[in-house]
Amino acid sequence: MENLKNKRSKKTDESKKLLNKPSFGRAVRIELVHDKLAMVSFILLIIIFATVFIGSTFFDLGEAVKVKLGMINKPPSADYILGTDASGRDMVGQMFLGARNSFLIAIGVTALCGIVGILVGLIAGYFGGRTDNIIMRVIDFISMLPRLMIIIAIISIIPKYDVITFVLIVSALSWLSDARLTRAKTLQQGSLDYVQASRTLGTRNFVIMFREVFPNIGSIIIVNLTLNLAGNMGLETGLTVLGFGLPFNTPSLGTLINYAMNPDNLQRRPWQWLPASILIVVMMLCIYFVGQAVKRAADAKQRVA
Amino acid sequence: MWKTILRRLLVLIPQVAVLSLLVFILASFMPGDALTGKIDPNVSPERLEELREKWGFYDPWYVKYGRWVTDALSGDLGESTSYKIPVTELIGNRAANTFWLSLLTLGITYIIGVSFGVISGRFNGKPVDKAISFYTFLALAMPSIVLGVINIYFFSLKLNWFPMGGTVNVGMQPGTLSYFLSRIHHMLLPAITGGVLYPVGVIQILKSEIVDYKISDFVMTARSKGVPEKTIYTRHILRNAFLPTAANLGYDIAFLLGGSIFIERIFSYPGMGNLFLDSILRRDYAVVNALIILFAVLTVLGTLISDIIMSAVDPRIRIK
Amino acid sequence: MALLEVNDLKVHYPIRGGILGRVQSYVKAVDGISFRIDEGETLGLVGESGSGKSTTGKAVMGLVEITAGEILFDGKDITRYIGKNHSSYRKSVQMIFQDSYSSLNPKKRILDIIAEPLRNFEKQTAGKEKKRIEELLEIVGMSSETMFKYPYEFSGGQRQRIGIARALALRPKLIIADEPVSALDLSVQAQVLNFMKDIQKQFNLAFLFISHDLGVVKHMCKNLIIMNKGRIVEKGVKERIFENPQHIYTKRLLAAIPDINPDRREELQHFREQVAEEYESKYHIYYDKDQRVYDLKKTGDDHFVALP
Repeated sequence: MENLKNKRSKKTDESKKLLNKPSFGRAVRIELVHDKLAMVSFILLIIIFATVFIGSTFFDLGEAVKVKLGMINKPPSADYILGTDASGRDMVGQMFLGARNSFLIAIGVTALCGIVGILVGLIAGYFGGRTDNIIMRVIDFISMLPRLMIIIAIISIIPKYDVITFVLIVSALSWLSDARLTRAKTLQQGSLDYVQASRTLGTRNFVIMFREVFPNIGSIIIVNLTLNLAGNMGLETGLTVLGFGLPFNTPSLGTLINYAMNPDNLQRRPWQWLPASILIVVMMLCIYFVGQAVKRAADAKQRVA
Repeated sequence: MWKTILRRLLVLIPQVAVLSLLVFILASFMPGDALTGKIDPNVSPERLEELREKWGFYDPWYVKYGRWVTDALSGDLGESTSYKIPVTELIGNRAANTFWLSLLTLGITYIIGVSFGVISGRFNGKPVDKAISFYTFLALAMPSIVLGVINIYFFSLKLNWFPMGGTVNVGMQPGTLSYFLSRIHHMLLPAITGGVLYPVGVIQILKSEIVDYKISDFVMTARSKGVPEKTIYTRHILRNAFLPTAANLGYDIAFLLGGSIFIERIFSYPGMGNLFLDSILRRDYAVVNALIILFAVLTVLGTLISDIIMSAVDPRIRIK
Repeated sequence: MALLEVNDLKVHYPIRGGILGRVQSYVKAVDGISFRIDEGETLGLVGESGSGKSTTGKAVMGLVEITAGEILFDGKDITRYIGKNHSSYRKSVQMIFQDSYSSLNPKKRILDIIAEPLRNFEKQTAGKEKKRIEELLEIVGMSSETMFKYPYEFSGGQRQRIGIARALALRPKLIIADEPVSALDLSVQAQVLNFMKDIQKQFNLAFLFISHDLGVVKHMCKNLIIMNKGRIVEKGVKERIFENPQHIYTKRLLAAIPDINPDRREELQHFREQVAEEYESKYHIYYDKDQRVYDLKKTGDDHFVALP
């Protein structure tokens, strides 16, 4: 009897652990207030985004991308705080545009991967059995592919590609970790009685997946997506610098850092590539710090506050 | 366990088959063919057409694929159209370069990873741990290509400590000590660039293991018996904490071999990653196909090795 | 005519193995059991964990796939529709779960939890729906303010009542109760059990009462089924089984019931040892060479025992 009782209370304890109380938003606020580094990062991110988005609306972008032959490769000065490039364009304007595009592309990839990953992960984890088996085979196959190489190969065979195709190609090979995480969490939740209860109450499978299971695993997935956001910014930058990312008429932080691929620019004109390099590191660092605080908020065991 | 390993290797066969088909179809979409680059005023367009006919350029793709597979199975991956040597030989040359660079990078990664991980775990929550944790975030946030550019700018161009690219100084005699030193000198900056960025995983695993073991029952017992703190670490904690770190090695090897594209490119280091980009740009598809499949197999083998080490050192984990 | 009739129900799970992962054998969680429940009746299903009693409940609920056998409800064969949603069976058969912590979704208000079945089967206005939920909460003895709270704000007993309110929402005829009180404190157990008896009378409900606790089952049921290794070892009217157990497994279960009278402790201890000895020595008589339980044989009015 004693044994049985222990077993029972253990089961209940475990269920309690899996069932977070409904206050994720508040937990994030509390974590941010208590983690100064995360708070500073958060404020810094807001300042960067406000500057970039509001700045790029007020800033005369026509002026920014206009080629001025008289102003080629000027070092920083009072008129051009960050100098000019080989076409005489103001680097400040390029930075505004570049940071905005890089961020939007990273958001696009992250969101698309999130949607596909969550959908696939929920289906695999919820239905289990053969469905799960087939989906996991496909995921195993895709994850053995050398992602970078395949992206580069596909980009090199598409004759005309733009931001949209770039986002689609990168996303097509990057949703696996989101799907894996969602599946694992869904499997965990699926063992809890509330999912079984919904089935006995006549709720349809897709409704159970999205309205019952998803709210319980959403916070952990949001954390993962935040961290992915930074990773995707880095990936876009790397690919673009190598010449296999965005087309060069679309300024991004990658195209700016690409100026450094020219040895002359690298040695003599650091103002063309250094600010963009610093900006991307600062942005990614801030996202990671905020993401870390959000992660602690999602996992009650790790909370500092 | 042997059964499991055998099953994982068996699964690899259909996976590689599907992958090779995919890669082949991908390549057949790529513009141009191997003869496009061979335009030679001495060869008439008619002769080129004849050659194309003879070499089967107009065969349906499945015929071409069948031919490619039979050749590949007998060890013939075709000839590189831009280097005019067999693909296997070309990749063999470059693989050695990538291997040495990866080994040096791995060395730096583990020296930093293990020492920082141990310090971080032992002084968990102290300022030194916070500093290390800040470093891991910085390493996560730094794209390797950005650090590569910055390192070249400061260490090669401004300080002139390292050469800007390549593998060895011109005119060195292979086999001599100065040749060897020159090679190391060329590899050092790319290896450092990777080596300071990659330890994040090792540090985090080692730290969390040590922190967990610090409050485990057997360590508490040892401490209550009066075992000196240093002995507790060397004899009890580290011995256990290193196991999962060791298992991480397999993933790292696969990751390094595959993830070296950015670093090899930025340092113009003639390894497999750089070869891949060159081949893409030169439409040298025989090389591209072979490299993609090679990296895929390496990824699977690396994961398998890690899983085997993991289950060998920790009987609680059995690979499924 | 029985409300629910289960004939030769089997639930088998394949075990895969080998390099190619082929099916090598089966776990026979439920292996050919038959029983019936009449309207308004409570049938007790007893066995230790792993005996297949919960799987039986889940099979009747359509939560696990049935390998073989048939299930008749109101005389109609519904085996093929059992997992589907739009049958009247879904509305007529509901379930109460053991773990009141995990059976209510923590992210939903009580209002939405109880409204879930109503929204699936009865399209009605928000006002009408709210009124119905108030009614249901009143039936289980809770105030209407609880509607806007979340599950974690309630105690185990209260949560189990909310679970019952949810199960009652569609006016079912049969409720499968899978260990409904075993996660509750003893003081709350009796309260919930008596309350279940009340609503049974009020709505003419039938219960399939699954439990490992013979004391609880004795309090609740008229008829009993004892399960072991996925098979029925003994079934019949409660009094016959309690007073005259025939199968060695049943005897052992009954001997394990704790007695609060300290004076009888010695006596009971002796009795238990005796039963354990008998179990050891006669085990091979009651189970065949594959450790399987024999088919049921009639040994008296309303009393069946698995004997060779």
